[in-house]
Amino acid sequence: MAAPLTDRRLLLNEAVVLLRYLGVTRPALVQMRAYARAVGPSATPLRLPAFVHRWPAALRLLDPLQRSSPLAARLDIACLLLDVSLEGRRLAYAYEPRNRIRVWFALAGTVALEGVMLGARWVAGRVWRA
Amino acid sequence: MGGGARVAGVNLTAAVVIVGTGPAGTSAAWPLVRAGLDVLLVDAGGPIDSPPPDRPTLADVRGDRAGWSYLLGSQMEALCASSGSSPKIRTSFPPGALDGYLQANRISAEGFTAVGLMARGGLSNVWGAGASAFDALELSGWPITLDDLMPSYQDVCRRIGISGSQTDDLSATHGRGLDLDPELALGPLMEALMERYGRRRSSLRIRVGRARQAVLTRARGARGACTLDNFCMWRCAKGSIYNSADEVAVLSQAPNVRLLEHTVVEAVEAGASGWRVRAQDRRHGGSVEIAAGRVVLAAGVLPSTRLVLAALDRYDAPVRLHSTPTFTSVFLDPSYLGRALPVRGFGLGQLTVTMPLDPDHSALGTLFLCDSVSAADLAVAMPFSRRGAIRIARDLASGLLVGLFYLPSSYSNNTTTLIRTRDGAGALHVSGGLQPDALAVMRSTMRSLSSDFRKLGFARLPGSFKVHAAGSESHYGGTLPMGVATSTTGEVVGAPGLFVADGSVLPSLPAKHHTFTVMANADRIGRHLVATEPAPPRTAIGRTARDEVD
Repeated sequence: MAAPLTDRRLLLNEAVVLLRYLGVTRPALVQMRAYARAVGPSATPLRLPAFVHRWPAALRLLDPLQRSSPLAARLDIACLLLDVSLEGRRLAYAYEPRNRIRVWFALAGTVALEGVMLGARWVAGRVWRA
Repeated sequence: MGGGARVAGVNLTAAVVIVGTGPAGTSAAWPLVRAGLDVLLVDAGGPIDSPPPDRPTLADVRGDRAGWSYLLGSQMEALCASSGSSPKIRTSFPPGALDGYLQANRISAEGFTAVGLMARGGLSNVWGAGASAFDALELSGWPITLDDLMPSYQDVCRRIGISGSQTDDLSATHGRGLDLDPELALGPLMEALMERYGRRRSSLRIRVGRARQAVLTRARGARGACTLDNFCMWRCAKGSIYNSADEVAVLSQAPNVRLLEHTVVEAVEAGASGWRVRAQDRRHGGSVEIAAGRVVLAAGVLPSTRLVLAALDRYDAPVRLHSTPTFTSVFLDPSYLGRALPVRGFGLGQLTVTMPLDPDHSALGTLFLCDSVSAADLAVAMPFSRRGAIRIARDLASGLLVGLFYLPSSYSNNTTTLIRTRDGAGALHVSGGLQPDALAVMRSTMRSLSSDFRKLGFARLPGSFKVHAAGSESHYGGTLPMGVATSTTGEVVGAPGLFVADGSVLPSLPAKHHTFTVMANADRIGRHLVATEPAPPRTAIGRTARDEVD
């Protein structure tokens, strides 16, 4: 049984937000449909704050530390969907050699940002629940 | 179970019924089939589609919209099953193949992850292909010796095809005297590790060698040689990795073999002249009854244990369940950062590591590269946000080694108990745990491993040490040990004619992968059944079974 149309539309929007958060600039319709199908026919859309819809990168703040939360499960699905787009492949896999110094800097930057975000995510996780 | 209306029952007879078509069931079946005995194979699942042999490499499929079904399944099953599943399990299976296992087999668990697959071939569809033989020391305390098992080890090795080294530091650990395929090619990072190990070996406590794998490097019949397409986690398209489902297809062509699938065995009961197997067809709930001279249970440790304990009416008496405590750690070679991920490679364990725990016991680990693992599976193991974790996984992947390490089962502390249920069929409850010193041993082993890996140029990633839930790697057994609950030939004590041929009968488990030993032991039990086949019932091949539909 298909979800009500409005819920389905909201799930497709949710797919766009999650994929854009992960770095996909233009999520394909097939990815969005796959996402909606994967979360299940009776799934209800997450109630994501409005600012996340506007700035999907801000979802980093709400990315749950608790891996068993509903948002975490849906982010897992979105991560797997990276594998099936060229842009996702570029984001997730390095099949071309890269400058080692740049890789080191990129890693250091990401780890530093994640360190800073850890506290913010902890606080945000207590304030907002999906 | 059997929620719908039942259809008419089916009665069957067979000289030997084998329950389960995994590696143990097929290994027990071969000697019987070759000897011309009337064999009925019963399995709770059915065949599942194999990936097409022309499937491209993993690197080619990633990013290719046309490759969706290869990665996620035609029904996107891999997405639906993503959360918390191991990468090997989270691959393309028909919905329900995993889900119905516990319910259909009446198993409940706490502190223990019981994994089973309701499909032809069972867990061999997803196994890591580790195929080490046990040595004499590991068999000490067993009522059989290495000499008893050796002919079966050799026969199974010839049958399934195993590749590996005959000359490196771990070739004796994996077993000598076997006819092996040439070893698989190593990935660049593994080559580097082996080269450094060769130079620094004398200063190390670890020993490193090629993994021994049930993977063909030379084509054999319908099975192709490994093409290093890196797609191993998604089931092998060439049939290079051994899967007993392929053997079932061959076995069922023999005129003296019948195959009954989608049928869950509910009970085995002693009859006036043999055994009665009560089962249910999962598709429509119809009952199936099979009268058999002898029954061989190879349904997997937990289902077989439930059937035996129920047959013996042994309720509410806890039975020890051995499992190999497992932990993971990830190591990084910083000099490999920035290198391209290899587009070809073998996607399962490439090297084996041993670390002595005491003079008689060792921990054993398998090393994997990350090029065959989905970035999502790496990201989920990191404490970072998904966005950050995906990028970190990408940047680190070319220099990462994942080690999956096992301790001997003496460090486990699990029990299984058959409990009474209202319908009288009984259910098996599993309670998982570790011995009090297990965690400390895992930590100290990890420290020793880290120290040696550092000498080889690898740093352990902080926070990467993770202890797995008991049972999650499916390395368990020992509930019906030979010499105690079963005879040396797997016959249940107090139940003549009822045999167990899976991991249940192994008295203990070393840190090694035990599937090859389960198969060899099942082959040995099959040979025993042939040698002791009662003379009168032996009838012409293909005309032995009388099927009656009520």
